Amino acid sequence: MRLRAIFALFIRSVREDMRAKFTPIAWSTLVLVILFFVAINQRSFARQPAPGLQVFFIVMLVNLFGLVLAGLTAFCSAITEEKEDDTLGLLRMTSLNPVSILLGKGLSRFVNGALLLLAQLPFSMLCVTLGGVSIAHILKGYEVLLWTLFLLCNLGLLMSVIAKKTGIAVAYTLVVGLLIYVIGPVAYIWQTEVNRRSVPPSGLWSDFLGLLFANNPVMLLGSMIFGPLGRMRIADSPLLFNLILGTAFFLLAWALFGRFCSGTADTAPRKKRSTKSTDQLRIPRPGKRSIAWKDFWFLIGGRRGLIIRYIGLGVIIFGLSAFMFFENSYSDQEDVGGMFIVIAGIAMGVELILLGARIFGVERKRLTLSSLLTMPLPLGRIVRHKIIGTLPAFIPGLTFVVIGLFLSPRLVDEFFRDLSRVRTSEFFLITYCFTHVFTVPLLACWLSLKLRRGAVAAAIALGAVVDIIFAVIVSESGSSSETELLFFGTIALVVLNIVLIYRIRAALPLAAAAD
Amino acid sequence: MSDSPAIQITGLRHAYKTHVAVANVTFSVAQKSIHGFVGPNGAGKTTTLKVLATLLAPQTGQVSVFGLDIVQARNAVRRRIGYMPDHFSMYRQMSVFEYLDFFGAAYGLNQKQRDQTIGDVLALTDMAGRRNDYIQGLSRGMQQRVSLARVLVHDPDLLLLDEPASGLDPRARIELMEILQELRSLGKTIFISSHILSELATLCDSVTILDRGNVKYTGAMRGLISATEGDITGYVLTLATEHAPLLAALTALPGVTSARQMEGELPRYNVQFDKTKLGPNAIMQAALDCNAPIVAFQEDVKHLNDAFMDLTDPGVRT
Repeated sequence: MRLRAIFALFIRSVREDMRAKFTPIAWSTLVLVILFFVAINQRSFARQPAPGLQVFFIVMLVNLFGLVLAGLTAFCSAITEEKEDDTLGLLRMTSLNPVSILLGKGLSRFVNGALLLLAQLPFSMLCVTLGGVSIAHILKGYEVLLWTLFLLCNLGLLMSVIAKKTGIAVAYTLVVGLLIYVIGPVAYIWQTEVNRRSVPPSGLWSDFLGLLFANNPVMLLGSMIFGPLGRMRIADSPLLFNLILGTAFFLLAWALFGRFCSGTADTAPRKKRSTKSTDQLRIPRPGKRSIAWKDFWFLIGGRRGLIIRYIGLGVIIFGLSAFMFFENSYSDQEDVGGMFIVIAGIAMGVELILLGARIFGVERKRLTLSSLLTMPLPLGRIVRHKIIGTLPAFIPGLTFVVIGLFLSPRLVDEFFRDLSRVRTSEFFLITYCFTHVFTVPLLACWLSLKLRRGAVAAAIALGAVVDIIFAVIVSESGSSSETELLFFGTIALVVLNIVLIYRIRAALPLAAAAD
Repeated sequence: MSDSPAIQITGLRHAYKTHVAVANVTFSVAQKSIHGFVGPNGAGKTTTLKVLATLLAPQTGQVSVFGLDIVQARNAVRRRIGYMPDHFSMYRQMSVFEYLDFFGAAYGLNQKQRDQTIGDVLALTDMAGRRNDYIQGLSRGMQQRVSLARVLVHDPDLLLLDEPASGLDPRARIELMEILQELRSLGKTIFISSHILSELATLCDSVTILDRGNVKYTGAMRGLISATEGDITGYVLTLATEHAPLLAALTALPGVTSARQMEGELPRYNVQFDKTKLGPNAIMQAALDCNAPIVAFQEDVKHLNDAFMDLTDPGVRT
């Protein structure tokens, strides 16, 4: 009876997942991607040694990318979705204890992810037919993915317990995920490199960093693919590391459940802001472009939001600059300037995707679309004013780009010199990339009107699939038709962007009517 | 303002894929009146309201507001209506004043006009003291008042209110009804939907009853009872103390079909009679003649619910 109560929510979640349209679509998409890779690479890698291994490595990386996206959406919303829907209180009123809720919400997501991996396994075996990869390679690769999934699932679950909203849980998971999977291994490499010149690294901290490095899924997959399988010992298996860390995250989520999940997002007592706060007094009154005013102050956070962006971006850029400058004696002002431009560019790209999903997604979530769209304004003007209101979010990124340009005059000079000599294929590659910058945010915007959550992840995944397919087609085509393909690819993206704009226009009134 | 009805709907039909939400709706609402729009859950009330609010285009039929076609003159209609959906549709991180100021500006009011209007609507909704409070900190009833204030901020002629009293406590409901009565006295036309007919009984001048996408009754509130009850009507007499001869005196009247004592703190008598043979004055006179200590004499409003039950079909809509 007790066991039944513990697994009641889990069984319900699995049933819901099985009934959902998303599950078979996700399974079919992944299988199709694998089949596509196998088919397309059968010819192209035939000339290279171990073509099956190359294909399998790409499949693994696609999976890893999918896991990260899933970790940031499905896992992070496990508990926050109940908080946002005001249903966590109802769950707690039943005989379900915190463990049951955590197992029910977390385990079902893990099982769903594991089934997604399992569904691909037979199709990945096709790589064996291409040669260069054994069944043992494939099983090992999926083992790495499975245990990474376990860790990510529990990390997302923990953040979902702590955070009030899914967006905040995603941010927390990103930070911890970066520490585990990027900063930790990079720090280990740096430490090893530094100490190679002096004393070998030792101590608990170094061991921990070494553990992060050794269990990094990219490193594991890389060593497996590009080294002999025998080099990967049982001790190298990520099972123990992921199992221990994942279980620790789960236990922590359990311990913190009572503290963070006693109230729901809407019913928890709120800290009442002072009615005469300086923050409020500083907000000017709306003018003719009141919608732009609203989005500037209440969507991107107004002046405070800009300051936070400046600080966040500044810390990343100056931190990396300092690291680069001190680590590599060859780095000069030009390199630092280039990095300013790259990091600020990436930040603006991420901002663009997030804003694409939030610009109408937030209105839809707050059920304010009907109020917005019954204003006596044409839809085009409403959209234009909303875009105007969110554009200042890019000012911090642009500032760093400008600083980067000032720091690297040689780079700018070379860029303009090269521009005059740019080949047709390079020109179309640039236009393809430029057009692509708008495709993913438009996809995110459209999906935010269709999906309850996960629009950003779905848009990124769809964008990546389009890119991978396009890249494979271009690499397959040979240099003669590369220019033509890039040209048609750009045209196809432009058409896709126009179609998406029309789809968004059509979806907006429907979403408002569905409020 | 023209003499056209505030709302004129003819042959409206709207379906969501294969599900017909509104099958055939025809009715009109007079200007400066309060019109109740009643029906069980799933009757098609919200769909009709969304069509009126210009959020949905009518698939068949014609809909006009103050003589303006809602498809041809959408923006002109939007200026004259204030739509309050059946859920809280608010920017909760704004203060009450910021929220109203934003909508005022979006409707094209200048700062001076906004200051004046916001002051007025806050006074009307009794929220003047909370103008600098953040919306997320307000109670449900207060948020409903702010919603109503938002609807009023551009001074619309027609208010479309979708179940505004749902989720409010009894006090908040009564206060909301008082505000609506005050708005009527200011010349507004109010179109209010509810699934509880008795809630609107004392408020509305006219009513439309909708069931499964079809109009079952439209017209004056009083006519609703006569439309379903036939010739029998009911009244309730409330006395200060028990008065034994009253029941006999009432039963003896020609045309009285039944007279019975009801449960309650004060003695109450329910009298049913054939209105073709007898009027309420005769009932009152009979009570006075036998020296009954009358406290109140009123129409039996329970009949509205009976009428509603008679007009609508039982069971859940599939």
